[in-house]
Amino acid sequence: MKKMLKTALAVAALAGMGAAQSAVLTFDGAIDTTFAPFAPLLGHLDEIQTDGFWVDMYNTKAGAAAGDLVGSLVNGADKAFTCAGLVCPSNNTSNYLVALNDGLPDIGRLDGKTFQVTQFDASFVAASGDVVLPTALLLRVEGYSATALVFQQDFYLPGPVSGAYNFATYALSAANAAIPIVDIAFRGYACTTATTCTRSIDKAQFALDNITTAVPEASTWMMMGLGLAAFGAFARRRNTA
Amino acid sequence: MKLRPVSLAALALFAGMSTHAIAQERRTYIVQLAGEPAASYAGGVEGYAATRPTDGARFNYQNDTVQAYVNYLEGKQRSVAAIVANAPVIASYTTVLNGMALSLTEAEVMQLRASPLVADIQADEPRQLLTTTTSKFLGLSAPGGLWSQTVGGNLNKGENIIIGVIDGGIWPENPAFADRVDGNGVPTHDLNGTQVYGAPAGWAGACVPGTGFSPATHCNNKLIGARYFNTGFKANQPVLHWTDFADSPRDSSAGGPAGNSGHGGHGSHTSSTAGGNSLNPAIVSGIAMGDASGMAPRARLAMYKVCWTFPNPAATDGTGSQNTCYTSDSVSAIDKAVQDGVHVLNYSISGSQTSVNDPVEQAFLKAANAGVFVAASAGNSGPAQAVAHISPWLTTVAASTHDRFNQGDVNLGNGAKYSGASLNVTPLGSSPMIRAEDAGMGGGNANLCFSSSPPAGQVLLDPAKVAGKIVICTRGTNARVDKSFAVAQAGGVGMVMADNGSGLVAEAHSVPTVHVSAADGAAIKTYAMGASPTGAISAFYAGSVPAPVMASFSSRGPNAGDANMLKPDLTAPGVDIIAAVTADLGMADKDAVANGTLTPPAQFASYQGTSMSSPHVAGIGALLRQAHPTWSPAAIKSALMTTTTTTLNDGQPGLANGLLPWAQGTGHIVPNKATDPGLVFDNGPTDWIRYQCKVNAAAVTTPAPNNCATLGAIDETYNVNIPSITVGAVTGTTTVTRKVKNVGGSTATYTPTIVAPTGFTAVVAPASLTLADGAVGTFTVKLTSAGAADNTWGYGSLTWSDGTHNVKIPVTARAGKAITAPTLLTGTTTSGTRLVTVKTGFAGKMTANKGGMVPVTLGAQVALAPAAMTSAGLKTACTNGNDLANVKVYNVAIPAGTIAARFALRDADVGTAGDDNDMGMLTPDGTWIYSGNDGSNEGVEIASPAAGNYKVCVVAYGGAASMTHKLSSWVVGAGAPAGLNVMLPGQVFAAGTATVGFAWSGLGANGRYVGGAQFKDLGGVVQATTLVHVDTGAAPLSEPAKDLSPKALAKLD
Repeated sequence: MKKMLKTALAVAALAGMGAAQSAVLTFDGAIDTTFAPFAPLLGHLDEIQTDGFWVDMYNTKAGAAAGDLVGSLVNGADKAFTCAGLVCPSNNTSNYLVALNDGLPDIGRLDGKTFQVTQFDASFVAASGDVVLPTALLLRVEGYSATALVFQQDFYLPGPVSGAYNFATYALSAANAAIPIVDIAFRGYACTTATTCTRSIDKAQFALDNITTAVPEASTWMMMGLGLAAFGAFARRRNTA
Repeated sequence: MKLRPVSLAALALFAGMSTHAIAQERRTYIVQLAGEPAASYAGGVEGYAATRPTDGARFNYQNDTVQAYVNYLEGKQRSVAAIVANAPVIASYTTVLNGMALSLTEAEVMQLRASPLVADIQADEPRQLLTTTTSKFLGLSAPGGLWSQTVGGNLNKGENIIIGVIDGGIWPENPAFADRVDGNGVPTHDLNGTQVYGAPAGWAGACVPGTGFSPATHCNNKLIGARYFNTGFKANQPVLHWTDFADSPRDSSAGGPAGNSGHGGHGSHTSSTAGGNSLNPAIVSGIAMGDASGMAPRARLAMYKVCWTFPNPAATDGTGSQNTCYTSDSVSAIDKAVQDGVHVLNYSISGSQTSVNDPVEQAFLKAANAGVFVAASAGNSGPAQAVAHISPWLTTVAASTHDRFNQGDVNLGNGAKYSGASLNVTPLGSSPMIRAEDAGMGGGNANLCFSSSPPAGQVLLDPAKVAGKIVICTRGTNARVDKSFAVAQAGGVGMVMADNGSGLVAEAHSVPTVHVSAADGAAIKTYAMGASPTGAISAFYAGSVPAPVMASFSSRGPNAGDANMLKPDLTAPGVDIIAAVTADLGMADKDAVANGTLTPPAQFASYQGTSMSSPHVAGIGALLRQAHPTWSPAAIKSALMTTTTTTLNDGQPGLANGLLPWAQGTGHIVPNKATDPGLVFDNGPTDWIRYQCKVNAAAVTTPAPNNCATLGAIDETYNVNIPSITVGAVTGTTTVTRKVKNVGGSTATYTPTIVAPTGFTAVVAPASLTLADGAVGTFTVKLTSAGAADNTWGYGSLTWSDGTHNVKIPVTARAGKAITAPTLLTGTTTSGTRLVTVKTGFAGKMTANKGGMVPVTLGAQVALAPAAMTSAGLKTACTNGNDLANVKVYNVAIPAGTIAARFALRDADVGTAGDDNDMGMLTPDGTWIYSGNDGSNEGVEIASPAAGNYKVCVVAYGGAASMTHKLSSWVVGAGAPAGLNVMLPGQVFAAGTATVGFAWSGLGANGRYVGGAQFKDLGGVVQATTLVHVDTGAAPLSEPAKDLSPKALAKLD
């Protein structure tokens, strides 16, 4: 119910602005935090809105409650202070989103229409004092239609270099980047051994920035027939870890 | 249309800008650049080969490779200097620190912070100097002792080893620093004497001329180097006190009239203790005390003067002057000393109690990487928890007594005889006695025997009652020598001083004096209350006392910067140490020395302080360096630490007790065993990088393969390979790892004996270690909590023995809390976010109470009259609970459920700039929390205080005749004003970590706020508290450490 209300309000606010074009989510422009009362801290079920998109944050563990800390907006220029007890990436002085404590960010258009994702910037974020392996995180990117998972692609985020973590750009495969979706989820798994990664001990934490989206071409749009999905129909599939 | 069209970036920018006026005032900062300095550079920059010396080799600054790399560093430094082209360069460092001291405005600091070339910027801070027969006490001169052993044909007395002393200069006239001997082998500066030192090998240092110091006359083949460093001092202090020698390595004079005297002697004392000649006849206050000797009497000495005296009418010791040592000058000195080729450095100067990132500590790390053994003082703020120099690459030295005891007797008319400490040379025949309690003016109490301005409750001695009598005074509050002066002033002929538990001190007094124990004093007082009491005082004679006992002034641990690492490391003699000092010269004589027309006499004095114990260890480090040229500084430190013996019980309560490792480290040094320790716990540059990757990663700027990414951080600091095991939080079971290297010369099999810390079980694996000579073995100690009380330390030990060598280390552990969170977060902006990692020992839902942000409550102005007081003195006054002329007592009722209580003072809230106020807080259970910085930027606080009545006490330590202050206070309850939000993870895990978010907003500009959160376990019990300080006003306050000098120690009783 809450989600429907949020998006309904947002769509109302967007009325008359014209259709959203391809956009890059930089987290540097205007950010609406009406539904994230403690922003820049982000809790379970909080939503921020920016660049024509909504970003929802979820705790996917059993017993999740609204307000569980699952993310934060970070001003990279103030990193040393904001990340007082975390190791945030070094090479970004703009604003970015951080998923914390195995939190899951899910992103979609405020107008409910489909979009494509071509690439994004990401970095592992370490708990201070933790020893991190050369491969720090498996980041599973999941594209959803209005009703189903339509693609899934895994990325491996590296451990520290010279003691620091850095954002790098990760491109989706050409095939995945061509698939229109209504939302995209970023599910992190922290690697505890060379062969095991997990999202059950609060250690899957990562930063996201510059999520580059495109608008499907008309032919694709019509062919897929997904453009009219009602905004109340989002499945809560990301609650299943 | 947006609902809230405000950009985050703009918000943050405005928050940062609106509250700060960019100050234009210049201050000195030490700017560290990315990249290793030359002494520590192991390669990695393309085109520049490694410049770090290999094991056992010395750093050679003139080497082409080193010069090429230094040129490269200087180029980078020029680039950084160009960013702030208007900023004066105070100093440039290339050898032990890659950086510069620059005079910067706040705006320039921000400009530099933005440069990727800059690794760190820290304010230059003033530090203080901390202040014989110990060679015999230490067994060096015993048959078979270290001095009788030979190394390569030389006796093991420090031959060809160079000790650098970073201190207040040197008084070269003392025979301790001569390179000739007379016909009896006694050291002399007489040019007719026999030259007994050749030119030092491999020495690149220099003797520089200065006021009253001529290299040709004052340096020789014993005192081979003398330099001075004062750019940092001059940038901060425009005027030199008349007792000091401008731009000169010469130690300042200690003389001068009351209210305008100096602080000299310290540098000469430490130098002669470490490496002064032996057979040096010492005369103190006209009394022959026997021959003095340094610990390494054949070592060469080099003085690096960094401490200078400036006029300060408000000086708390009444001298009208203050001696101070700026960190930027110390870094310059360390830089130069390593270039010069010293083997050992002594640093009897105060230091950081919480950070290894202090520029001086970082410079010493690079010196250690270059193979230089460094001894440093633990500090003179004991018995409080205030140990300084916490870096593991330093050997941090506490102070204890030795067995020389100058004794005198009081023979009472009833035939009873009591012995105590005395330096009395004039026996006093039978004379009438009186208690000072009975000898006050107008019938008042004069038991403390003040010579003037007695405090409330005390009166002066009444001459009518005292004339011709021996007066029994009680130790405490005023200086010991002030008491005998008061007796002399009132016409008394002798004094018996009854101790207050601080320990007996033999010293020169104004009337014949014996200092007796508190118990003996009580007995003598009882006798003196009878009819016609009489007593006689003997001349002093050489006695001996059980020793060593920890000095009460020696700063105690635990290590405030890292609860997993023991500091101090060990203890050495630091009480009643007789060594060379400067002459007490008047102005005319001082001028004559300055212009070279007067050759001053040699002078000796008895000092006490950790300043005195540190050079003992530096000198013995030099002996071990001579005996074992390939040993690393860490191996020398290990050999000293694993062969110690325990001190005797000093009777201090609680964690301050001298038997605990917090006071004595591993124990008292036994040099003759240290030369053959069997096993050593070694560490090298790679180990220090891995340690810093854990605690101070920003300081590790080395390129691959010597960076954190390649080497990795050490998992926990209790696994740093030091010869002590300390675990601050055992959660369930903790396994500690150590490596030992066999230096015994042949294959040996060692077996362990473990004494588990109280409340724990301990298992050592493997059950034995068989190691070839030079081989390294690894062992683990598994500590499991077995009924350990919460927040209580347990003490045990581990000894590895092969039947010949016993390698003993302390094993100390404390049961961990179920939640570990940072104790403090700070901020300067009206809104802010902090993401922190908490460690948890349980699985499930963690909960929290939060409170704040609470704005400051500024109290009414209170006026006090200045009178210096130690931490212990203020605690006593606070316990008594009555306002004194110099002490204000605030009673504060703290309700149940309080998250934080903080009390503070600021320079901005005192009556006169430069006023020095100190403060402390006494909790209902008697815990004493103290803040005694220089100046008045002070703060005491307690997290999650128990409900009850607390006393906060402020002492006007020194300053204007009438000192005023306003107390800042914050009491943060769970229902305190909002503004702080704390968000928790949905679930936490056993032996896990999770992120907690703090965010505050809506604070006013120019405000000081305190908030906090209590983290609770499944049972709702508070397990950890994190406080948040936000000061939206000016730049963070500087809180320069104050440590008591040897002079102040004597002055303050």
